[in-house]
Order: sequence, then structure tokens, then C-alpha cells
Amino acid sequence: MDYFISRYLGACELLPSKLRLRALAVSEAMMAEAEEIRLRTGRAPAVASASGEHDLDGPPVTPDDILDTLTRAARGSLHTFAGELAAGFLTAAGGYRLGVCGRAAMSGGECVGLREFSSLDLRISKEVRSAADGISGEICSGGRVRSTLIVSPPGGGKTTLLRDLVRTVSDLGFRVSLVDERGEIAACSGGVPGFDVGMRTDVLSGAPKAWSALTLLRAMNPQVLALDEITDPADARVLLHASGCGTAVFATVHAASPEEAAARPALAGVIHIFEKAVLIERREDGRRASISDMPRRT
Amino acid sequence: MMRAVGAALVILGSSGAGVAAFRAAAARVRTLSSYAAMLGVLRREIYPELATLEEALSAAVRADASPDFAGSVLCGIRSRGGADASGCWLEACSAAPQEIRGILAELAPLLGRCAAEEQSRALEKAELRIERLRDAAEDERRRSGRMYITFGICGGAAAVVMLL
Repeated sequence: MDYFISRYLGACELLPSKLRLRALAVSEAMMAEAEEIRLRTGRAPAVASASGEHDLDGPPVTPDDILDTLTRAARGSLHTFAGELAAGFLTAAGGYRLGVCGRAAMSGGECVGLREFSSLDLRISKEVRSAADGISGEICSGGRVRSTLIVSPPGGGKTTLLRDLVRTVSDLGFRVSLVDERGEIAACSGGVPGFDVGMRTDVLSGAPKAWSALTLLRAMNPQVLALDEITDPADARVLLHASGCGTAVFATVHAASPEEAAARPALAGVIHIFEKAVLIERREDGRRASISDMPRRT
Repeated sequence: MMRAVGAALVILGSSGAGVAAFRAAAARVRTLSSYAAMLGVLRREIYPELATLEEALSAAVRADASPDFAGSVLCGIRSRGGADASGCWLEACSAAPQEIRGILAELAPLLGRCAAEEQSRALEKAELRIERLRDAAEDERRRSGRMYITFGICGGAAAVVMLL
């Protein structure tokens, strides 16, 4: 069976039976293209792909559908994932990430939980083993790895590219420490990565990025530190620390271009550690990753 | 000689009936204790440990706390890939003693589906209710034990007097 279709079918297993039957009724072409399954209460469920959202026939989604999907993803134990849910997501076995919206329960100015779920975004993560083929040569040459920032708009495939870059560099013989806060890069289950992240990769899952990165630097002596989606200045500071230790850094950021990323206040003090920038663009014929030297702010 | 044998049989019979009733009452106490212990293990594992239901039920099985019930729910959850834990719990309830079936069934819609503290409170409440039943059963066992022993001895003695 086609790998992409099998990933879609795996995502469907998380849906309650009535929704699953409707999701399984789409064409194989759509299954292979699907990037997300979206549930919104009072609306038809939809399958999202690069070409847009396609509504599924039948009655609208109910709040119970969303709760049942989350409960299945949590293997019947939502309370165990309360911390993740308070942050708006839950990662199920197999690396499927479920983003959720609802009513936030606040305490002391912080969100301590979500309830009355209203929307769910089931992301179908996929392993693309050739994703980094065109860029790994420039990043990894002369026996050294260059710190690289992967840039793209949301849904561009940053995580997929980062995963394959980590695998490639790791299999070349470099020790890589992977910070997998949301468990979707390596999709570890029972301590075993669900995706191939390379022979010499150590994964720390489920903890905040800054804490994980420092722990990995102290405990695992990495040659490369990889982490997804830098949005917080605290995460950026840790990258600076890693660079100071002589560790190369792979990171991703939401931006339309490397120049836009370099102008971000959160990255202002840390952008100089990156030697290379990879920009992922969506085109009609698919995604394309191009590598360049990291632009410097003047 | 025949009378002596008859008297001995009457004494043994009445004592045996008393012992059987006493053992049944003791078994009831043990069963209720075991269910209360299981709920205690689940409560502690779910809050503050935030263990999954599978982990909590495994802990109950390991602790020998109502292992048949916990094992049955655990098998159900595993065979359904984690889905419908409430249904698995309810199915297992049908094999639980009639007097606590309702208490256990009330937990089904909560377990795994609400905040850990809320589950912990519900489990504690159910545990206390079962412990009260167990305490009552324990009193009953003591009372009936004394009664059966008295009946056994008196009945046997009366039979001996009448037969000899």
C-alpha cells in the first residue's frame, strides 16, 4: 500500500466510527494528498490538502465527535495529556498531532486546560526520506556541519525536512540531539522512534524546548542540536548557548523568507549563529527547498 | 453405637453449615477489600502520577488489587487500541458483585475523560462507599460467625442430649 495512503488510514483510526467511515469514502488520490483532517463543531468534517479543504458529506461534527477523537488519541486517558492539551495540542501514537481549540480554563493568568472543544486539526505527518537530498551536501561538508535555519510559511513541510536532515546528518556519523517537544518529529512510542531519525540521534520528547536543549547539551554531548519552530526568545537564547559550545544547530521558523526570519525580534540576537538558510516554497508542482547563505542584518 | 455416630454427624453437619456461612461472609469482605484497594491504586496512579488508564490498571493488577476486574478492563482497552475505555469498564462491571456494580458503573463516563483531580475525587468517593460496605460486611461476618458457632454448638449439644 502507498505510504502516504497508509498514513491517512492511520489518522482515520483516531476518528470515531461514524466519522471514520466518511473519511474512508474519499478517493485514494485525496488520501495520498491529504495533509490534515479538520473537525469543527456544527460544520462538515474536511480533508485538507495543498489544493484546499474538501468537505465530507454527511451530518456536521458534534462536540462529542471531537472529545471522542481526542480520547482515542489519548488511548482513553485524556488526563495524562492535560499539559499538552493546555498548550493546544496532543500527539498520538504514530506522530499524528492533534491541534485543538475550545474554551480555555485560566488560573493565575495561565491556561491550565481546555474544555468545550470546538475545533480539531488532525495533522498527518509523513516521513519523506529524500526531502533533504538537495541541501544536505551544502550543510554537511568538509567534515563539519553548518548551523541551518529552515524557513517556510505554516504547512510548508519544515518538520518533514528537519526530520530528514537529522536522519541524513546522523547517518553520516554525527551525533545529533533532537528536541521533540510535541513528539511529532521522531514520534517516539515506548522509547522507540516511529520515524527514522538516524543511527546516531538521541531524542528528548515532551518537554519545553529550552529545558530539553540545555539538558541534551549537558547530558548527550551532541555535535548537532535540532529543534522545531523557534518562537520564544528563551529558545533562541539556548541556541546561542549551544553555538558557544561548538554545537551546530538546526532549527525551523515560520517566515516567508530568510530575510523576514532574520528581522524577527525573537531571533535578533541569535541569527548570526546560522550559516545557512533553507527556504521551502510551495509551487504548483509541489514543494521546493532552496539553500543559501544566511542573510545578515545591516 | 448408632446413636453416637448420628450425634457426631449432627454436630459435624451443623458446624459445617456454620463454617461455610462464615467463609462466605469472609470471602465477601475480601472481595470488597480488593475492589476498594483497586480504586485506591487507580486514584493514586491517576492523580498525582497522571498515569494512563492502562498504566493505572496494570499497577492494580501488579498490586493484586481486584486483578480479575482490572485485568479484564485492561484487556478490553488494549484490544480496542485505547478506544472506548468507558465501554470496557462497563463491560467488566457486569462481572462485579451486584452490591457494588452501580458504584463502579458511575465511574465509567469519568475515567480517562475528565481532569485527573476530578477522577481522583470520584474514585475516592467510590472507594469510601465500598469501604463502608466492606466494614458492614466485616461486622456482619463477626456477628454471624458468633451466631453460627453458637447455633452449631447448641444444636450439636441438643442433638447429643436427644440422641444419647
